[in-house]
Amino acid sequence: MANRLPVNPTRMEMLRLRKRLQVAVRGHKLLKDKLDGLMKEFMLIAREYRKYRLEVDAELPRVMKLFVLAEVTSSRLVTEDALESTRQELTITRSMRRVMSVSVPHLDIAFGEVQGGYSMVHTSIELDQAISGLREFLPKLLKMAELEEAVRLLCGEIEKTRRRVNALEHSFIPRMRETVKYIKNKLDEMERSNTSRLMKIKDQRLAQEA
Amino acid sequence: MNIFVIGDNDTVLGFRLAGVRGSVVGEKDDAALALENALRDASNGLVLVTESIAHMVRERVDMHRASAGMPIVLEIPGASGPSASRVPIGDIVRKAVGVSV
Repeated sequence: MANRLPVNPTRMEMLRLRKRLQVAVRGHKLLKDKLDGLMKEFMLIAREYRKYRLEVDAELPRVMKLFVLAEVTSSRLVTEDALESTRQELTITRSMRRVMSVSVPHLDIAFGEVQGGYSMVHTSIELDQAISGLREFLPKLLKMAELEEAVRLLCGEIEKTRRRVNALEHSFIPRMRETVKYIKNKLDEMERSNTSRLMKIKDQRLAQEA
Repeated sequence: MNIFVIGDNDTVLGFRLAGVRGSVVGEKDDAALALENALRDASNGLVLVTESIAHMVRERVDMHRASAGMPIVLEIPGASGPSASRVPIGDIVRKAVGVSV
């Protein structure tokens, strides 16, 4: 059973505690609602993340294999030369999105102009395939990065919220209830003893006067 | 912001073609140094690390993630496919939520 709080059993303390108890109960309800909301969002994001992860795991090695193929079909030197002479501008922008009061990143990708080019004669078709494959693949990778971060952040938030809910539910609120009950008992007890004392004194007075 | 990739030769070469800068890393010390530089560079928005490299500097990666700092670090499967030593996200989920999704 929960221990009661170390307070003096006075009426004022009891009133104060009752008020705190009310706040705690309301807070508990709110936090529990927040936890439910977080869970709901989290489940959606986690499922989506899993989908993307599987896709990325399957596709990235395939894309990378295209590069290896490109290297094999033309010489490594030619491929590297082609890579060196190509400059593709690529920037990502990062914005924040709020999910249940948790800031999660949102990434956007923008491809810039392709500068320079490589010889179409000396390089193989696999290189072209590899390049376009990777370009198509990048947005997916970004989406996954975004989702993974969101999963991580939401996980942290859920853990924190759950601890709070549990602390309130199993420790704070019972302890306050217990203390209020204890003070009430104590006060009643004091009142009873006071009444009986008064009765006793009254009896003694009456006996003296008689 | 940019993407930065740390990995083996093939991966970095591939990504470089799509406009992603990167550094090729072989040894553990190289990996630590490259990661540190990549994390410190404020122009990086996303750092891709191949799983095998991330495994070498696991501690630093986890530490960075725990601090929820910039940039985002993402582990990607290397040229040889997803590695077996990966900590599945399911574990993290189970720890936080209590059930697996």
